[in-house]
Amino acid sequence: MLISRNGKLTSHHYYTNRNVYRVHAGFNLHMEPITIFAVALAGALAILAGIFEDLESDTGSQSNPNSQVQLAPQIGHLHRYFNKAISGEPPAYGFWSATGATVAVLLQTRFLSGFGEMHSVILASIFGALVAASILSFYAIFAHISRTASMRPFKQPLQLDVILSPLPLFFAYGFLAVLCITLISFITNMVLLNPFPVPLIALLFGITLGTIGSSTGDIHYGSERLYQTFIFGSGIPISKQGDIDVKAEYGFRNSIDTPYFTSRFGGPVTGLCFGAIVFLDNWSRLFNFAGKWTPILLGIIIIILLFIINLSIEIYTRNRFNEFTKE
Amino acid sequence: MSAQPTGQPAANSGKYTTTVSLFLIAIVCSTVAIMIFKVTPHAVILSTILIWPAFASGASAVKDISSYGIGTGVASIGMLGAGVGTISAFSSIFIDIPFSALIGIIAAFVIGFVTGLCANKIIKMKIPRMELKIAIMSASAAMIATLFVSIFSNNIDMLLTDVYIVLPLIFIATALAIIHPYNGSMGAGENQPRTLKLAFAEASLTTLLFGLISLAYTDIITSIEILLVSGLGFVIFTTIFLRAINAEIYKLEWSGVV
Repeated sequence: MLISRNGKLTSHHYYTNRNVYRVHAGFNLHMEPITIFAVALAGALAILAGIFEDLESDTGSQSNPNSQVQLAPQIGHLHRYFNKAISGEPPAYGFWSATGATVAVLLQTRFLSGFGEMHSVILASIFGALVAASILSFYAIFAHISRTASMRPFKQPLQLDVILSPLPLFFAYGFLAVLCITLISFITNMVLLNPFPVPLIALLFGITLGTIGSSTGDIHYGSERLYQTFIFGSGIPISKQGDIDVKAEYGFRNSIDTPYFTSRFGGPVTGLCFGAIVFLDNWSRLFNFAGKWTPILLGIIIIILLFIINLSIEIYTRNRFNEFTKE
Repeated sequence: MSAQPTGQPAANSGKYTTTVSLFLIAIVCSTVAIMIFKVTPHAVILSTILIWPAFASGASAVKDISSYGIGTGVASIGMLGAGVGTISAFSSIFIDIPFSALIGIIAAFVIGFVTGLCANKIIKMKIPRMELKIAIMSASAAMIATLFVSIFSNNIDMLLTDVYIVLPLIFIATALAIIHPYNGSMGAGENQPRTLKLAFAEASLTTLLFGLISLAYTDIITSIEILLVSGLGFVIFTTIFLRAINAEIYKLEWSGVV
């Protein structure tokens, strides 16, 4: 890890003492308790990061549902959703995670002498996540007010409580997601001995997490919650686009009720997906049966196993519920 | 079902500026900014101000490309430009000759132009003048990255490898600051003056973040100069942007039934 020398940064620890690939071939398990603990902890934190990421993006209708919220005023549905357009989830989460991790790495070197290794990492990650969540909030507010101003021809008003009510909620979710990502990056670098620096790992994990939140989690908001008047699974044809639900059980739908809905299934399933990726990927640190080729071979084995499981689930589903039918 | 645009047309809050003229302003300002920093590092307050037009030039190029209906490709095109720019800028610090910073910017322009040529001729995206716009975007990202890589690696006691740590942030922060102004303002009433105001607000927010990071790299006076001027710029540009919003919004209210 980085060490502080006369108040200046040095990072030669990054590039020395890195015996990542075990030289001794032959099957042996690296079952030191700390490695097993780190793999389990990284997996658990990844599940939490996935849950918080999906809820954060749903609080402000980011990514795929954003297109529907954006189209709604054009077909006459004025709404009270937060329109958080931040360039798609993967780049946005890459940015928040890289910000949090960079600030955390630089602060951790300052805290190291005072607080010890573990506490300095946790404390620095908290400050890093705070900076990242603040920048997230600024970008989100700019996006909402500017996009609403662009909806002037369709008479969409700018209501300040639509900005101020979800703001603390997505600040908090964003803070927790970035905190988890930063801690996973520190664990991957310091305990699991990944050769890349912490901010780069965080950037890659952030882009991965944003992609998963966009592909897995958004279905339960974009095509279910916003389209509850249509049959689930019927897809969103062009003719239905923008025809979203704007009224709730009472009053108007808003961006605070959405996480209440998506935290039942959309958030946890995103967490499960990201957690499984981080957890299974880290197994390459536990086993060693082919030297430096171990992670690649293990990855191929895991992919084949997952393919077989998915295939058997689909065959079971078809036998149980009959074949796909046309309307 | 579909409602016709019935509201008043948006109040025009400024004149349209072509991307090429913005780019010419940006390249003059950025060259001066980098030169000033190389001559006297304590005049970084001027360098920070002079780098903001580069963000506006990149954002305007993104607007020009994306208004041909790319939509979700806004992010992809910005990532491409910022990636070319950041890598060229970072490579240029290894070349040990005078004006090496300019070589990185020119390389980014050329590589961006070739990338645009490939997209238009081989993939046949057929977007008018896409080559030039991607080249402008890459060169703008390269200017920003060059200045901040110079600032972070200016300290004699610092190993060059220490700048590796902050490179991912320079890349992704520049990319977001370039793509977000258009992406965040998209819609029927979008206009270039407001997009550029947002670009300046986000540019100063990005330099504020870099100023915070520079506390770990440079001496305290340089960092405080960047933080002060960026904070002041952020307040001023956000006020200007909010005034533009206030003039263009259909209706502003605390709460209500829509």
